[in-house]
Amino acid sequence: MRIAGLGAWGPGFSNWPALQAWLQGGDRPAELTTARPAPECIPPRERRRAPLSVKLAVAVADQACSMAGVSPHDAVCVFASGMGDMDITDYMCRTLASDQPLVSPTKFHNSVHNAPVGYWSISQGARRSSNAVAGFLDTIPISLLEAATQCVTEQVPVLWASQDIASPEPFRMIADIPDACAFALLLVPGPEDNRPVAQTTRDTSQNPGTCLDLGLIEGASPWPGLHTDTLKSLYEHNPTARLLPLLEVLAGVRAGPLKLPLSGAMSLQLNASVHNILHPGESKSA
Amino acid sequence: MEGVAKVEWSGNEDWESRNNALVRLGLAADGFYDQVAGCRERFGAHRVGVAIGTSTSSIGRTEEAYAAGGEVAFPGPYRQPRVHNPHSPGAYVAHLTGLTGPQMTISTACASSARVFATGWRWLQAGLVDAVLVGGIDSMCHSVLAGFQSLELTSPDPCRPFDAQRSGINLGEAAGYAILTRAADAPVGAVRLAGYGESSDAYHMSQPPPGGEGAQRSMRAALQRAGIDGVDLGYVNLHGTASQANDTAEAQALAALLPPHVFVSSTKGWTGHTLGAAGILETVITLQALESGHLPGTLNLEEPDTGLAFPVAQHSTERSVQHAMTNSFGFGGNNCSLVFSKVSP
Repeated sequence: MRIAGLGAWGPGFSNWPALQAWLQGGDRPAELTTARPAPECIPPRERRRAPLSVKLAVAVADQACSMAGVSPHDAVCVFASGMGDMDITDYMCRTLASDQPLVSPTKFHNSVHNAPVGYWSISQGARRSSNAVAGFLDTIPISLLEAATQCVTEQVPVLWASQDIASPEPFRMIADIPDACAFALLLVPGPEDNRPVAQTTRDTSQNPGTCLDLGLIEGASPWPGLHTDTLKSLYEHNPTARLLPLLEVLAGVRAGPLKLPLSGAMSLQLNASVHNILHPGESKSA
Repeated sequence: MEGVAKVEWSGNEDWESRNNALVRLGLAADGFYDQVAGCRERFGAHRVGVAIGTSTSSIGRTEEAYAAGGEVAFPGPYRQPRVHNPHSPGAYVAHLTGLTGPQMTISTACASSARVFATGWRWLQAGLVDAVLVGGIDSMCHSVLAGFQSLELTSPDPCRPFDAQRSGINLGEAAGYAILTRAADAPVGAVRLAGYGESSDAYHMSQPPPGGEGAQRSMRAALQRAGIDGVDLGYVNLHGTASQANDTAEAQALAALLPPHVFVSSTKGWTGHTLGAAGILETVITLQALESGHLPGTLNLEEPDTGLAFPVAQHSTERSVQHAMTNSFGFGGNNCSLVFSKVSP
């Protein structure tokens, strides 16, 4: 399969080209704070109701689809988050523990783990499958595996997006996440994908964009070290930031293959071959 | 649910939650642990995946942490990183069973534990694993009680799916599991997962479109993948929550796809709406209908709503059927339909 589009949002970057420049130069942007995304593809009424988790996921998903030139109507969705929307969990639990345990109906329906993909689907009119998955600290490898498997077995474009927001105070000792970040990949099947995922080999000569192979290998793996020192704190603390080693490969500053932990006895091997460094508008859809 | 309070956590305090108590009770039921052990020995622990659906996860435990004064910092017993995150039940199932293949939690509201079957199908098709433990667990907690009340969706009375007097849903809790393998590895007599269909309404976060168009698409996709038509179905276990909007929309969707003689019912009068566990619970009921020929009717359906577009069975019946479907729909406009078929000897 190929990575046809990318989206990125976090402290100091609000799209893939900005993050790519950071990864390639290694310098921390002068201004680290990133304003909350306000994706215009969400209609104004829904945008007002949408929590940060939703805005982050929708913003990066929109970037990935635009870059790939793939319509949101054509892609199935696999959205992920390691911790879910902790702001809403905090609101719900705080309200329920108070003297006035009446919760807002909007906040309640926003509390489902599939709220980000639900808002995406509603705002884009995207009617295909929309999944929402979680794997705690291993959310990135398991959700990428889920997205890639669906891409290959169903031969459909898959919009993968993950986000994790900063922890509210009580959650600091559970998952100490100082900064939010979100990433999206638009995966498209390639002609080489008629074989099982675990055995995929490549003939990339005809494919523009970046080829991505995934496979399971026996044996546990530690999380690989990150090359970019100035992103190490984000990488260490935010489950979604664990995409960064792959993004270093895609930015051309790290050699693959990557091994990521999947369980106590299995690892996910990722091999991305950069035939065509991704710039907006250059890659083509399937 | 009976037994939840009696679950012993000594030595396992880092996993303690009501939801995880249900995880354990479900695994211990019906000799399921032994079946998992057999699977693990046959294929190897790393060749068996875990895909678990939930909507509540262990948020009930997080509520308890706040109620115990944790609004600034969780008190000692509640400092459980593996519990206070959405993957809590999937990780606990993998922990208890010793399975080390891919492990994932799917949380798409009330469609969660139907979607695990689609994921399991794809993992097997892709050759990632040789078996998948799928299932779902949801537990009673204040968030869902207060939340569904705020949406005015709960009924103070026993729920009456598809009834003219229906007045909303009853909440329930459940845990359930199944093991998926490739056909060649399945025991004799095992029912076949013949098709799955997934779709999105793209309409509203907590309301289905009145015509049930999203439900039509998930049912149609499941039938197509199974290679059968609506007329071939002998039984459909409906989402049938007894909310005004769901039952109206689901009946519209059925009318668009099925001839009116197909036997369809909602079993939520017996079980309540078990949210993220509804998919697995109603799959188990659907499998029992296929195996036994006992098709359950709709408890508390006394006065069928004549305004609905499709007739729903009131009374249980005995009838051998070849193919059956189950529907699960959730917030966010998330739909999943599954088709199961008896395998001819």
